[in-house]
Amino acid sequence: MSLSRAGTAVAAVVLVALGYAGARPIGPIPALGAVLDPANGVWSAALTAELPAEAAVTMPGLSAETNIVYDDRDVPHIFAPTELDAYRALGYVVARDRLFQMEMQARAGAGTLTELAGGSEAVLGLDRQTRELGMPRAAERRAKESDTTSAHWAQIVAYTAGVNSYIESLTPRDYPVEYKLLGAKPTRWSPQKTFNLMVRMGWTLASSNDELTRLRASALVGKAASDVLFAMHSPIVEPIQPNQSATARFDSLRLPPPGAPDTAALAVMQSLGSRGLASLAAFTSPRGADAVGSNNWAVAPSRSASRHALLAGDPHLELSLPSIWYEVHMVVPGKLDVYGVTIPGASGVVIGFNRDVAWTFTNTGADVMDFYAETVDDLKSPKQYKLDGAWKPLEIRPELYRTPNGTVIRTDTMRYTHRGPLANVEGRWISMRWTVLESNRDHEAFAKATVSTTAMGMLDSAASVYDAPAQNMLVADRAGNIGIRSTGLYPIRADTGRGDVMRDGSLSSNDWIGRWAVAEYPQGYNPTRGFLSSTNQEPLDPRDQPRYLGSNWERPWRGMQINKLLRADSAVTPEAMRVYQSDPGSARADFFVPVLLGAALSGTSHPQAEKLRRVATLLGEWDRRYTKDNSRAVLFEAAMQQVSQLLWDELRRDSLAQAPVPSDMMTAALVSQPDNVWWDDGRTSPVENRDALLANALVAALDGVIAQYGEPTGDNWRWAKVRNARINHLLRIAPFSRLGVPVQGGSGTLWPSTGSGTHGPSWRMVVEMGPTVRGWGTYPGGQSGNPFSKRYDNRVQQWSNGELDSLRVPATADQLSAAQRHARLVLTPRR
Amino acid sequence: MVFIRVLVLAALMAAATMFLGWVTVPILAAVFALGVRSASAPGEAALAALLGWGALLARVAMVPAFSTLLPQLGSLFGAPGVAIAAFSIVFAVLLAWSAARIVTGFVIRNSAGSAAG
Repeated sequence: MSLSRAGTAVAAVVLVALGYAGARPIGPIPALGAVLDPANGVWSAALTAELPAEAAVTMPGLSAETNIVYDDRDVPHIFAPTELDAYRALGYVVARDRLFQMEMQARAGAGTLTELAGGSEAVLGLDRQTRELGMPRAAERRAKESDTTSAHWAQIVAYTAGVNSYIESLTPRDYPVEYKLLGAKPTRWSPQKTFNLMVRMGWTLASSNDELTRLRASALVGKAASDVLFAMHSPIVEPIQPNQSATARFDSLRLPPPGAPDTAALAVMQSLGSRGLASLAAFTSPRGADAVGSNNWAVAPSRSASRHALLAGDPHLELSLPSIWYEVHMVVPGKLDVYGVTIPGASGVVIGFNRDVAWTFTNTGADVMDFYAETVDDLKSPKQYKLDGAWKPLEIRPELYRTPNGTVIRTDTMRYTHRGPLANVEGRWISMRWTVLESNRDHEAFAKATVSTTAMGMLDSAASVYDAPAQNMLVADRAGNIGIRSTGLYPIRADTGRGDVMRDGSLSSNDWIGRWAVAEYPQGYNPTRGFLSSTNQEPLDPRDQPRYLGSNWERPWRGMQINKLLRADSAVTPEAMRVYQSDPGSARADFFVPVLLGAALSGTSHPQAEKLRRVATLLGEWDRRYTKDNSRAVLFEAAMQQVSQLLWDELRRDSLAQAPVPSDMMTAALVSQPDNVWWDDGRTSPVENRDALLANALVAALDGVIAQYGEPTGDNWRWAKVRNARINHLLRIAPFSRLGVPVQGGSGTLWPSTGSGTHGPSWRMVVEMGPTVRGWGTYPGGQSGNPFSKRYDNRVQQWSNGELDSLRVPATADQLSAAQRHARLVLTPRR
Repeated sequence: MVFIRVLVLAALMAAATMFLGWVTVPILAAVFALGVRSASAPGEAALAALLGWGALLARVAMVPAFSTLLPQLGSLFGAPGVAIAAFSIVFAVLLAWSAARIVTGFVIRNSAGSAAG
């Protein structure tokens, strides 16, 4: 009997322990029951990894049967009798493949990730940042202010119904694997979630913090130098709106010597402190300068081999698995026939083409976010702010953060002035005005784009409704027209017009006083040169339009490179467009390598002359192309880093968290001034000129590269080993991520690979607008969000190789051959 | 007879897991032990769990995506995928055995108590 009692006791302990571990997560280990259950747990994700060859679903609200054919690239072609049925089907098919991604992205925009993933510090931090930026409030206002009688609202509602129809059909077995690992279940979709997601996208694309950079620089080297180092205009002019120059123009630059710290800026920086600086920096999205890299260009029939207009686009965003994009084709006879990519959760095609027009975007980088130092009634808990001598009530909004079971884990109080969210930055109350928080018609713009029939019509319809995030919209049509317009709300500011200074919030005269007229937007249409392009650079030649649109522009190296390629090709083909998208050539290297070699070869009296000769030999062997197998690009990149370190020593000399380092555009501008005092490394006793500093940088670069990668033998310095892409899963789950993916490109190339490798071309598309439209495309991922599906990452290798698929664009389902049909889904009305 | 009742219990466990989830395993095992009233019930319940969940896992293993899932799941938990599969079955076996063992312990003790009384 005693043995039996002991056995029972042991069994009880085992049962309680397993029951607990089965039902509740323990630390990082998810609840084991939901994971290990072979019928409903993680294992069952294998059962739903692939689409059934045939499926039929009844759906409420559908007007008639809607057919969806998945082609052999896993792209759903929706053939619907009405537009609303098409949007309903779109919601269904996107949710079918990307449900978890939709929920996570929407929650990221709503600041409710803790309700999905738990209240860890990291997750809570993300939610707090989202709410401090005012994004959930802005999305709620968008939903509230939407015209619910409009056609585009009906489309959003139909899309929502499609998503919810899919969610309702699910059993726990069918939940995406991430839900199982988190112990969560899908929540119903709503138009609000679509708006949350779109506002979040705006943050990714349209937040820059030039104010902070300029303040930092002024606090170090004075305002005069800072104003030139972070000038309003790019010193290398290769604008989006074609100008009179045949090639890039290097404007002369008068860079004053480093001056005494600007006392006002220093006082602000010191009062902000490191925590305050971090708070302000949080307004900026996580993309670094090297992360920016979107390209687009269009070629007129006069320069294309087929005599049809060609268009190419590759928006660069943070890479993720599943991809940010989902490829889809929607057909409603006589009304809609659009192919392209949608953002899961956004109810429509964002980039793509119809039978008449193709369109794509790059980010403008315009300054659409301003800061104001506010005067408040109570520094600890303000309820009012001063405006023109009178106290105005602040809008107070409590923000509650909850765990998945509904427990409130934190409450914040958010305050808003008429400009936008108000934040306490180390005792100073600073408000922000930002176009992304005020825009509410981006969906309407995309919906209008899908049914446009001419390039100009598309540009105009977008400009009539689209505000943010400001985008360089490039179009090409079947009639052979090409056009580009930097579309978005560009504020007009008072006095100097500058938006890169913090303004006094107590004066309404510091508010925006208007917006640019569409005619003033940077734009081009059927230029005589026969092509248009944009690569996030300053869109206007300051000689044509000197008004402030932004500062701290993206470097124009990519623009110079693509324009050089296009100028040299008078018979461009779609294949050439594809090759250009991953062109390994670099205008940056073409500019700097001769300068560096000149310095190395002139350094005969340098203390390390022997080493300099070796650097010159090694660098001279480089063909200035960032191919995967290249073994010299690493030395050039190290040299450029060293140049930046030594040249801008005056800006790195304090304890500020992030030194305000100018881009290599400024270095390029200084090259023509070899004796400028900035070339002197103030930390060493001899006074260096340009060549002396460059020689020191080259020696340090060689030492550094050898120390890190070894001697330049074998594949030690192979570029693909040094730089590669990191495509992280949305939850950063390593087995679901694809890391170390080789890429062909480096800083300043058309495929700029970044230090961390987390950003890159998120969708590549080439379109030929002939009588029969032809398209090619790919993205780094796959259509499925299921990590165990062969459709999850089946395009990564192709993307890495710079290859594109030929896109199938059938007008009817019959135009797809049996071999081209992968699966079929029939939606029928539920009576 | 024992073999058949184990098979029936295995089928019930598989079906109940599919429709109601993993918590049905110890519940069915406990009910089984209550009905069988035998010292062998925990072992039989454990065997049934092994067969039931083994069949469910075998079903999953038939689909092509399993070959992707197995190593990824292993990587996720820092163990070979096969070990995770084995652990899944052990999880069910232990749930079934422990629930049945507790019930059997009480049943036998109560029976012994009644007989002594």
